[in-house]
Amino acid sequence: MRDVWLLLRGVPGLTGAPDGVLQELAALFAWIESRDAWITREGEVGDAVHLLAEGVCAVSTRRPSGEEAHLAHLSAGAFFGHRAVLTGGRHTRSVRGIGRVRTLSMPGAALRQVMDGSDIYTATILRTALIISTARDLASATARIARHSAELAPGPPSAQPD
Amino acid sequence: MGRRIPFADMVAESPFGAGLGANERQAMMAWLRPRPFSAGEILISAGELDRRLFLLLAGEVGVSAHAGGNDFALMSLGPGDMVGEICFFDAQARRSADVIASKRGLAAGLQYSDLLVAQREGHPLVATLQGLALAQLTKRLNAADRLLAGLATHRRPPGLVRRLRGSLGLPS
Repeated sequence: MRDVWLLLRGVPGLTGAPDGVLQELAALFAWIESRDAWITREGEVGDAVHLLAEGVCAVSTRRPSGEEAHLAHLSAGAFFGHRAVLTGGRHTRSVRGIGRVRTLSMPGAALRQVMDGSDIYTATILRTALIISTARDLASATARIARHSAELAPGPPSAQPD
Repeated sequence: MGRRIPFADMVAESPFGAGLGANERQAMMAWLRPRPFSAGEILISAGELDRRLFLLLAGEVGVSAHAGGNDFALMSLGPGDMVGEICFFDAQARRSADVIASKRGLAAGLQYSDLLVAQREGHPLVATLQGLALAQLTKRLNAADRLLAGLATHRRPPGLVRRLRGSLGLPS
């Protein structure tokens, strides 16, 4: 469990948290290792939050045509799967490991218990970590949208309706 | 002329003050600063380091990003939305987009250092803001994913971007 605790210490949002809190959180995660495998599938009910510890994952979504559209890559330190767990909904993206991947996975029930529990401090820092990870996803998606839009509309967008 | 609603009442009636008791609302007002804005005024500039969060109480703002020398409108936000949450929660982030007022309005500004005070005091504002931030980020990320999935095609059908933006309720 010490390796999990050490890894959590470096996660943005959890940095600086007391060792006891991180040890309690570490006990809720389990290691999962996979190779070129789907970790979450779009449309499935969210039942765990994953922290990518080693390797790279590809994020994709299905177009109405059924074709898989690549959205992003995730690298070590990224959380995923939490949005479906916390909203009680289904995954809106699929995440697949590229090659060998190691994740730390916490069951959805454990995540909800931390969030709704009486330990406000632990809930706050874990929520902060999830917010930062989601915010970084959004910031990089925003940059990609702007880049794609620039490629599609070389002139000023207002002057060139697509 | 309409009646001017006091700042504290506007906060109390917004999602940011929902579910708080009178004492909790009073404590929260010590951390929130009114930030009136006029149409065309810049609230946030891309690239800046600034850990302020703006809770929109009235008016409307537009969010836009730069690339290739162009500005691209990403979304419009209004009362009940927050802006600046990425830098607010992530100390390493810079402002990722411009936020410019499209209609005159009012925001409540919150410094991250004040959120830490609220956190130390166990004030429920922290959980409220975090819950709203996660919900809002989730909604925006889902919208961004749909837009990206459409943009990532090699061939662009006529009007694709405009239709996608329209379907997401974004300005074309």
